[in-house]
Amino acid sequence: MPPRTTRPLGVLCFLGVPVSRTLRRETAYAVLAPLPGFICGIALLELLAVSLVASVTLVGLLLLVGVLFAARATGALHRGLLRGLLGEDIPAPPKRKRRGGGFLSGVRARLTDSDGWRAAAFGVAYAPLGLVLFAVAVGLRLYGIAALAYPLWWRAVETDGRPGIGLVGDIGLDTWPKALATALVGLAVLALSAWSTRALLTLVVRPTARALLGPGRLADRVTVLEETRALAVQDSAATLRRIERDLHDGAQSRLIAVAMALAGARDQLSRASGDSPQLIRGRALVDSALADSRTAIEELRDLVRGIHPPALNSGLDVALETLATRAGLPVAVRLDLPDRPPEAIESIAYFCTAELLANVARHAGADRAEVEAYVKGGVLRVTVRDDGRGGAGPRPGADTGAGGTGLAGLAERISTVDGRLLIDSPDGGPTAVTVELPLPAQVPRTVPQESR
Amino acid sequence: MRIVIAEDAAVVREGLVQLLRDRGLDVVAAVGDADALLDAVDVHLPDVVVADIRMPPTHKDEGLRAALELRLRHPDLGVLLFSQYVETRYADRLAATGMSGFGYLLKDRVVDVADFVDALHRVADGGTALDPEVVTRLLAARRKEDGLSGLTSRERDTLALMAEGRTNTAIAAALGISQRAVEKHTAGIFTKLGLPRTEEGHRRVLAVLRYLDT
Repeated sequence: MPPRTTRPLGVLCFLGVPVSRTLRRETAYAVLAPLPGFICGIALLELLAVSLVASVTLVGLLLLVGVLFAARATGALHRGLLRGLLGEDIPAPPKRKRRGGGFLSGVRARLTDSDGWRAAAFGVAYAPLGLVLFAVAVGLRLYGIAALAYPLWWRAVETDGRPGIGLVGDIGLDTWPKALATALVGLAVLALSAWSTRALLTLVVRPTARALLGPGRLADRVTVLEETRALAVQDSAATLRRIERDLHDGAQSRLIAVAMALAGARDQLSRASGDSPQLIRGRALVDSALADSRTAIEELRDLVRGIHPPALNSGLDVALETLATRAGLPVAVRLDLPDRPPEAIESIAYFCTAELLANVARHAGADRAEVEAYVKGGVLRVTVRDDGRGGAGPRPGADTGAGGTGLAGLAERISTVDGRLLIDSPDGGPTAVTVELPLPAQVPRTVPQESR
Repeated sequence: MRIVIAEDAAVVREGLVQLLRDRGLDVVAAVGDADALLDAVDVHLPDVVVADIRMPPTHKDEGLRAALELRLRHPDLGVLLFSQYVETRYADRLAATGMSGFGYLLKDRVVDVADFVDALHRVADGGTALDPEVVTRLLAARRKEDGLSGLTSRERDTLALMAEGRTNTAIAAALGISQRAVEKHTAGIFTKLGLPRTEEGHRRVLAVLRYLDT
């Protein structure tokens, strides 16, 4: 059996009397939030209008940046009001990460800040919405209270010599039955006020605020995906480096030790006098084991070079120079890399250059090539030029050579870090292929681990 | 011949010490990092040092830097760099010190013990011992540049073997030609590279350095 107090409380709630926590919150919000909301909304609207008109000039664009900043501040104010008064907790949209780049790209980034624009939309839309909310919650309720109390005060006022309030024409609320009927109407108005306040808040204000003031779902997702992808790329680079180190210190060293021991054994056996069948067989076995171990060492070395070229440990410049020396044709190297790019970027730049130089040696019919690498505007550019016959282009599946996925494969690899592959290769040559890799501005390079 | 070995992987270090001692060579110290190498050389004053390039703490080029430092301190010391990988830039940097008595071998070359010991002797005596792979790479990259472009293919082969530090006899054997032919080729090389006729052995080093420096 439900407690007895529920029913009268329910009636009070129905009439909008702030007896419950929720009702008190809704009332507080409807009373206090509209005024600052209205002022901010109107101010935003005017600022937006002015700066949009002026935005044909750079000054206007800068002003617009300021307005978007103000819009974000307004959004924060609204979130504060919603949280403090209404108990609606909306998380702030994530701060825009500043990518590298110049002044203009910074301005562009701020102008395309969707969070700022959504906050502006909410701020402007809230000005009339807040007014309606205030009118419904406060104005309507005052009318209701006045009407409900009419039987108490109708005799105290006079209209055209008759007691009570005169309605349109001759009809006056001048009798007790009419006064009681007015009180009933007052109850209905109170109920309407309470109902429509709640409806406005739950159907309009809260969802709109959540949609416009919170983190945009798409933007949020993109941010998360960008971060996780960056981590994955970084992590795989670190893993490859660790595997290389483990192989170098572990399996490779041990294999070399085995080969040394076998070499020593062969030395001793060759000095042992006599040619018993056992001795001859022993020498043959050691020789064969030695040959196998050498092959294993060479295979392991090639494998490691494919995983993480050891030259990369000393930096991209050293690695690219090393690549150039083993290209099989004269390669001029011009590098300007004062700071080391992140490992993952270095690795991609290295393998792209390796593939491009291999292409030059195999297909281009070139006499010489050139590798150029430099960082400008937060982008690492590596260009491989040759004086060959040209006609290079991404042909997915065209290059069926072992392991070769051609330029299309390179482009895919580069796209994992939002890079680009630019190919300039007219028939007859010369060919220039440029790899552009944006450098994340604030990701610190992982410091190489000390040896175990 | 007194030898100091610097190699961080204990199995390789012990194996190398054992191998050389079995051959009757005098390994006076075997250490695990670059600082210990510098100390050991100061204490033992060896004829030749065998140093791994990658050593603690960063595992990058500690051995090479120690070798460069040793060359400043002990100009007559032979240095044989010893690596699992061919990084031509390392050879370049050592060669750029302009001195003889250095070598750069892949670790698995020790498998041919006689060749390895021979290389050690050459380096100790102020000669060179470059890994064939290092030489191949340097030559392949630089063949068409500078004065080297005038060399015939036989002369290039001869120079490649010379860069490894081999004698005329060894070159003749490797190329399957007579020793007279080798002398003819080396004379051709010296002429084309414009090297003055001074001491024969010195010119060989200069010819090799020309390769590495271009």
